[in-house]
Amino acid sequence: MFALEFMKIAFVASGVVSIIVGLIGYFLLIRREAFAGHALSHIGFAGATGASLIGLPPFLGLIIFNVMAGIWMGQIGAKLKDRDIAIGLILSASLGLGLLFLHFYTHYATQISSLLFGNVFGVTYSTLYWLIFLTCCCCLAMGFLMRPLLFVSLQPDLAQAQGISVRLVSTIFLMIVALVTAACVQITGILLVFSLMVGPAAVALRISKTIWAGIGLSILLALSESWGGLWLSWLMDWPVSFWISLLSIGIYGLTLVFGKHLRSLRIQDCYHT
Amino acid sequence: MNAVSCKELQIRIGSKIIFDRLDFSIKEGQFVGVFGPNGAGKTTFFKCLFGNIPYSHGKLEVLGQSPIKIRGKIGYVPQQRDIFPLNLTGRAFIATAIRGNRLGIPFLFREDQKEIDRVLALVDAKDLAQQPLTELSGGQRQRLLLAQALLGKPNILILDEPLNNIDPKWTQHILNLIKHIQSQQKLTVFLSTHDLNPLVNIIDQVLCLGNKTAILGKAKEVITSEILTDLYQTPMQVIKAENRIFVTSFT
Repeated sequence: MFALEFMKIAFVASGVVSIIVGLIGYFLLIRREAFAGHALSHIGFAGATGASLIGLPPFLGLIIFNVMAGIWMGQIGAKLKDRDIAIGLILSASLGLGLLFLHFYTHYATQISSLLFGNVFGVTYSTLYWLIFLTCCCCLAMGFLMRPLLFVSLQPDLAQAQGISVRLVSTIFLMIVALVTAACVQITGILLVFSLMVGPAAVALRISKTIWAGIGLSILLALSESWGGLWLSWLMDWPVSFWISLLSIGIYGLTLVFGKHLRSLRIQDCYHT
Repeated sequence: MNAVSCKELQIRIGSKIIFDRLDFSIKEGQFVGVFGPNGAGKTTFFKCLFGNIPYSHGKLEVLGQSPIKIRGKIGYVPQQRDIFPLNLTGRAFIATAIRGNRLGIPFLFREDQKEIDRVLALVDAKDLAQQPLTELSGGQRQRLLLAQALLGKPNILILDEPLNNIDPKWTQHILNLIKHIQSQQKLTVFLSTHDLNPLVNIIDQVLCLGNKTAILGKAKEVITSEILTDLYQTPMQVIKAENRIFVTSFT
């Protein structure tokens, strides 16, 4: 399997992306912002198709639209109910805009299909370097932001009382999510980002009793699902994104059924955080 | 030294005046019950104490300084929020507030572990350290929130309606615990509530908020039909019997 160049690149690309997606997904769920993560990938669709229309790389358009949407979502504020309505409306408007761009952009239907459903076997070396660079930047940013982000996510009022700007932390985090979503689109496609970003983190959140165990498990599951998807795709010649989404829901379903037994394993770590 | 000192203090949110010309001082080490109708501005007043809401006129000093400068010296238990759908242990939850206002990766050092042990012991919650939040009762969760607020040895402890949705047995247990910690740590405590009865024998003073003003004094002096009618802007009756205060509305 690894004799083929595109397979090697696919494994490295999905491995790199899974690390940051597992980390970000855990925080998204702690903050109850799964819908924001889902919406960001769809909002990027308009950016990607718009960029294609004017002759720019779709990945660039995706990143620009995603980051702009991330900043906007961070600025809306904390009222989740109002936020979901606003995010939903922007999501629909972006898909509508994407459709309009597609109406004018009549070439390269395969490129659009790759955007929507992913094409990890089509990742080139230059895209791989971009993914590695993006992942490194996001990991570094999370290294700085993680402590206040955790505090703000679990105790926003207490954090505010200690002088932390909840809005600023939220905005920076959503900008990172926007970049990670853009990277994840290369593996799963726009429509299936949710399965890799939220599925592993949801399982980790249900089972783990400490923050570090949760983050570790989320990353491990994201890696297993993306590599498992690649391997199954190699065996069966079915799309990778299909296998990733199937593994994601399968593992989540197993956790729902056997959650109590798994929790009793007391998955913890030496830091007790 | 005064824990809190207000002179001609005015607090606005946008164009709406929440408090006008507040004039009072509270000495350090007092247990103050904060009482008032819904929307009177209890939470706003607390947020002003730690500098989250700026005051628009007059002067406010907390521990002799501007509120913004003493943020680390105030422990705060916010109104009960839906923050516990997580499977985290009590210990892991408390740890998330350690040095939360600094950038970096949330590693814990040995002294952090000792600090968590200290606050868990203070609130008598060592047995909750390894239990998942999802399996705890309201009273047990309240003890963890209290422990988290005590991290870093604050001088002032603000508890915003901590007794909401807690049964009478746990209410008394938590109040006794807070009183014990207050005496032991020489803390100034502000505790807001809608029911003063469980607090009557514990608090030193009552701060009644409402109708844009505040009245400070001993419970028996301040909780009267005339004062509450004025604060609530509706006819109120206070009945006092055997160290109990019953507040009823005529409407």
